[in-house]
Amino acid sequence: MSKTKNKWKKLDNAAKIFPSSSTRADTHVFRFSCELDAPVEPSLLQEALDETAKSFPIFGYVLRRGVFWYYLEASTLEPTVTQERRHLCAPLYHPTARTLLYAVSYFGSTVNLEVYHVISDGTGAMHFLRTLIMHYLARKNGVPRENLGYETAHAGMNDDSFRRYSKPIPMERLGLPRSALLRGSKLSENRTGLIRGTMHLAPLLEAAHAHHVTLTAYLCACLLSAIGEELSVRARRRPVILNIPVNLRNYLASDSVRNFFTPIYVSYDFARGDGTMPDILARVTETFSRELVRERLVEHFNSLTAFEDNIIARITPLPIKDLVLNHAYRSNGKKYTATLSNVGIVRMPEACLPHIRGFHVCNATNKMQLCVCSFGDKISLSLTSPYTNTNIQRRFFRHLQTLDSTLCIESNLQDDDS
Amino acid sequence: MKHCQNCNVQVRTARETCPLCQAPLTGEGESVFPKIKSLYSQYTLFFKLLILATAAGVIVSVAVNLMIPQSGLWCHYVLIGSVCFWVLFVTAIRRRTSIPRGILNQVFWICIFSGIWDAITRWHGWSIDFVIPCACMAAIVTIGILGKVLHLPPGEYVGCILADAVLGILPLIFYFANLLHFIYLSLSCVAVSLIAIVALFILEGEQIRSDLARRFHV
Repeated sequence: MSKTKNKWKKLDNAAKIFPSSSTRADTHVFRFSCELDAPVEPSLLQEALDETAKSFPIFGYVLRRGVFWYYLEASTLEPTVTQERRHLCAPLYHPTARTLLYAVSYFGSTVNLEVYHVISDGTGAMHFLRTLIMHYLARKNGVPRENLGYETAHAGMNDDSFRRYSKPIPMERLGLPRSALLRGSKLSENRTGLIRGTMHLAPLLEAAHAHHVTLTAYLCACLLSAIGEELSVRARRRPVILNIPVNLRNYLASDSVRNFFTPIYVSYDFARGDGTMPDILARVTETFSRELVRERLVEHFNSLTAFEDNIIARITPLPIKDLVLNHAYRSNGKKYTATLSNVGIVRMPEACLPHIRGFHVCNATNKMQLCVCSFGDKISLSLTSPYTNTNIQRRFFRHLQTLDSTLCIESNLQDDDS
Repeated sequence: MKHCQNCNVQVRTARETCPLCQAPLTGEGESVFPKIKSLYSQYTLFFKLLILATAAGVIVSVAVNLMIPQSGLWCHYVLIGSVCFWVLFVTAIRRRTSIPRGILNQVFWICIFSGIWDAITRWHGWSIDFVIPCACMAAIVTIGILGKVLHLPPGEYVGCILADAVLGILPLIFYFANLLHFIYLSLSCVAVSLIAIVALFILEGEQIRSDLARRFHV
């Protein structure tokens, strides 16, 4: 009998919405990449992957449909390293196939890890990629293996941390107004267009500190301003709202590699405000200080766990739940214009540093999304969008270029895409 | 590294134009992302032609039927036949990755379609006398053998046999409703199904219980 026999898990609270609302255009797949100093050797990467997969059991689960809920089931499937030959963040979950919910690919000297949001969030996936890169470099360059600052094979790793911290109190619905929405012609075949800028961290931090705000708040203001300037007069009637997922591990103790985040919303009304950086920054800082408090965040996800505990919701058959959750996801989508997700600083052991050029993160979405991570003295800013129009990206990166003239742009868009 | 004069940024790409402003780039560049072949080009033409052929077949048969009304009304057979073909074909393709699920789905649709065809061709009862019991029995035996021969994990096929066996008990209703002209196959099917269910609970009881627990968790 195999070890994996009959092991299964319920989806965590945040993951419940993803399978019902995944489409070809909105795959809920995100990608972490690591650029190395030399071309990737597939056979070594495969060995490193086999070793890494052993310490992340949740990554070996597949998604199945039950009568009332989706669930994760342990599988004996082995991950395989492939050369990158699918579109950026293409679907990983296929309702009729039993496939792993993550994939590792390589192109040139870059290693890509794509993860379906159901099994993990950015923090969990980043642990996985860091471990994978360390095992790879250990084989390739003989760097020593070190503890990467989290407990592997720890019981808490597969925890549903939402369950641990949620209280059964009903909460009033988030009274968010509808937001200004981006529109335009989309890229063919539901592709995600990525424009990525890499720059030095120091000038950006300086700029943020000059305004006495955090890096995330500053980037948030830059993105709001770039979107605001590109909005049509009609669209300006509604506020521009950014959805910012907050990593709850910073507020509530958890070792889980599964989902543990909740969004906060930052809104700026260009019809009322003057649209200057100081004014936007003031609004952003005010929202951050109001929302980024432990109690507020717990309230946020309590409203979601309330749905999960509702007996009527629980006994509704899955096909109906699919429709309801998909509708809820779509209508919630009208409440924000874009998403900003800051994964933070990526740390690697000292011995690995000379072999790594940088880390990047990006997300497939039906909206515009800015994903940020920093490594060493560089910061990587990935703007993904389903639209052919790149005006917002141009404004955003041209502003950053004034801070650091060495800003380097990369993109998966081809010449004939625009 | 290429350079865009307009945006004054460095661009690492094999593109000719700047991804931000579409102005021409200067300098030498490298690809950071692979060029990916179009997703749809591989199979779409085949499917498009097949759909076109079906639609054309249906339209032509309606037209011909109207031209020679003395031949009686028959064009709806072509239409229903096409629908049956597409349902079976699409389920077969969608379920291609799991053989037990594929067989279960095919059996389900075959039972329904045989009933429909029997009904629209002046009910002779051949669907409930022969097709349904034979299909169910064959499926139970086939999935059981395949599961063992291919060493499938029990979770992959045990639930399918159970579902099939439940389907296989349905002929009992036809028997008690006195709809059957030929009782031997139907009763054999019920017997085989019951044996399968008993065997599953005795041999794979733990698997069945855990299967039901996860599929029906609320």
